[in-house]
Amino acid sequence: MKIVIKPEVGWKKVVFKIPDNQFGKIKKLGGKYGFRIDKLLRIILIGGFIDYQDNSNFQDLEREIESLERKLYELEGKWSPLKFRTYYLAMDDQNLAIQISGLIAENKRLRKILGKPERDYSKIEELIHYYMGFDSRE
Amino acid sequence: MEIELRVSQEEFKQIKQNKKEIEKRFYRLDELENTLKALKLRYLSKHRDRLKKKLDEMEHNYEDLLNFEKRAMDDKEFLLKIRHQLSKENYELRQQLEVNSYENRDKT
Repeated sequence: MKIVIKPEVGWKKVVFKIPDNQFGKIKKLGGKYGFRIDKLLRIILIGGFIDYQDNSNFQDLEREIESLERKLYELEGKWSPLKFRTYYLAMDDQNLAIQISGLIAENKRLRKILGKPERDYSKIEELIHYYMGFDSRE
Repeated sequence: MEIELRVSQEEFKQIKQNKKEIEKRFYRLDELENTLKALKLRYLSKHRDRLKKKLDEMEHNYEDLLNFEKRAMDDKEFLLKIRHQLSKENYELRQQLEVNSYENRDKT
């Protein structure tokens, strides 16, 4: 196998000639650990080797990742319907807030004409303010 | 067969300088395997940590949304009650206003 290394710009090159059977062994190792051939070559050419002493296998880690991914998918599956439900619920509350706002204005006016004391709307107005400010993009 | 690989100017310079040493690396398969193991382990650990972080965030957001749903349901119930009360009261006040205006007209 002929491996030709070229810079991004320019005509220069460096050539490595590796016997096919040796290159086959390298490719096989790459496949075992999930590395593409270009990545493998970059490790050999640029990265250099790492002194690795840990004998732990990857299976525990892969199992943990699989379990985390499963949990994420499950949660994503529950997330969309919940977001949909709460959005329409908040919209219902916003509509109610608009209607009540009109009713409060009418109530204040009628009470004033009839000489009755004003009611305390502070709690309701706080809620109206909250839902009127609800942003549908949230 | 031939494989061509493009590298940066700096990397090319390094490869050219260390050609003899690099050539030997193609035959040091044990060291290559150790390196691939280490890199894979590093990748898997980082991936695991990213997933954990994402899951934590999503669980937190999901919990917030559940709380908001509960709050919005309670508020809806309260707002429906208030709308009913106010509609009823306004109706009664309008009736009263009508009676008052009849009485005032009779007096005049």
